[in-house]
Amino acid sequence: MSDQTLSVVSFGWEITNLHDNGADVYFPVQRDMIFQWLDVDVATMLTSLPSSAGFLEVLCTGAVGRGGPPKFGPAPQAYLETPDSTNFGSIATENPEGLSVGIGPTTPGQDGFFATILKAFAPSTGAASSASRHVHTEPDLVLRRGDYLGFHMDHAGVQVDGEMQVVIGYARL
Amino acid sequence: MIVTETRIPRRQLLGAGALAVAGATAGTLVTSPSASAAPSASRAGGWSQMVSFGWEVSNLHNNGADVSFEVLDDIVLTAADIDVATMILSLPSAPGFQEVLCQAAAFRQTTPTYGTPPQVYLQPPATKDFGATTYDNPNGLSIGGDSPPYQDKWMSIILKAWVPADGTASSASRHIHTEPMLALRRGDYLAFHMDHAGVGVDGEMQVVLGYQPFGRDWR
Repeated sequence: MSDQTLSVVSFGWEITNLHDNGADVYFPVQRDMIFQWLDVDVATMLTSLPSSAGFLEVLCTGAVGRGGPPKFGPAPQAYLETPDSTNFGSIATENPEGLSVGIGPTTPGQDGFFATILKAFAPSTGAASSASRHVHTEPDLVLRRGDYLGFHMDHAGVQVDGEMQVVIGYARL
Repeated sequence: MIVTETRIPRRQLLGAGALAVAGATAGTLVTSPSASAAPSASRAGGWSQMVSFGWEVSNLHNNGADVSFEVLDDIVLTAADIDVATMILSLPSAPGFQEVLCQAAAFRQTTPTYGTPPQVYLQPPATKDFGATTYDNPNGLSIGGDSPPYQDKWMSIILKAWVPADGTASSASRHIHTEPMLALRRGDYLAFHMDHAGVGVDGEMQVVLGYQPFGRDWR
């Protein structure tokens, strides 16, 4: 017999013209709670045939803003920015072959609770050019009234529509 | 196996402890035989119980539909496995995208509330535990979304694909397992939704629910 039931909320957002840019959505937490689990479903698709074949990728992230709205990086990506963790050090690379390596952030970001990267190739016919993911995670994060939850999508490559559906399970404190 | 829905009067369905299918406004709606397995049919046995049903809309085309059923006893919805898939049934008249939004929600002590056709979205109440959404949109992108989040909407999946002229790789699907741990009371309703945009498709949702009765002796 379960002795702990939860509450759930859901929202979704869609960007119909992702094209080498990004945006964010955020909302406030209005009571103290434990953010127990998260289901995120993300998907991309072409909305017209590409002018030429090419890759597409969409980065999808989520993070907590403590005591206020989250911070965002500059356009065009407008990344959801998280404070550097004080529990982990900066990220080092071992790259003897001189590969093209990108890292972000350079120190693990505190209170980042979700990150998914969608990638696909869009041929001239558009066949098999969609990408998607469903993520279930259990952050078990304590959230206080006045904190915020923020979600981000940014894109590179062939223009696409991107959509994120979010379900949050939480226990009121 | 999918069979065409038979229009049994709603009162008769509920009286028998079976599912009440409601809210269908567009498309051809069918339900699976397992839909007759209602929560109250599985009282015997251990604490955990399971039920399953499926539904299919064979002509989704810029519209939507819903199904719902009543909760007949106090339970905790401990788990759900949802499998959703779409496919074209014939070659498209022109290439294009197709997308299907699949959702589920609980409605408290009332039959479900739906939005207007053609989509007939599930419309549970807005939450009071979170505030309205704000966008950071420095590029002026075209964004649509819900605000504030909906209370008791416990599943949401978005299927998207491109349908080329020859139909190659145009299907989309997802299987999810979630554990809502949502307390449901006798007289609440569970509702499920699919709506669509783009090239016409067939969409199907198969649902398995795990739950634990409470508030009475189930042994």
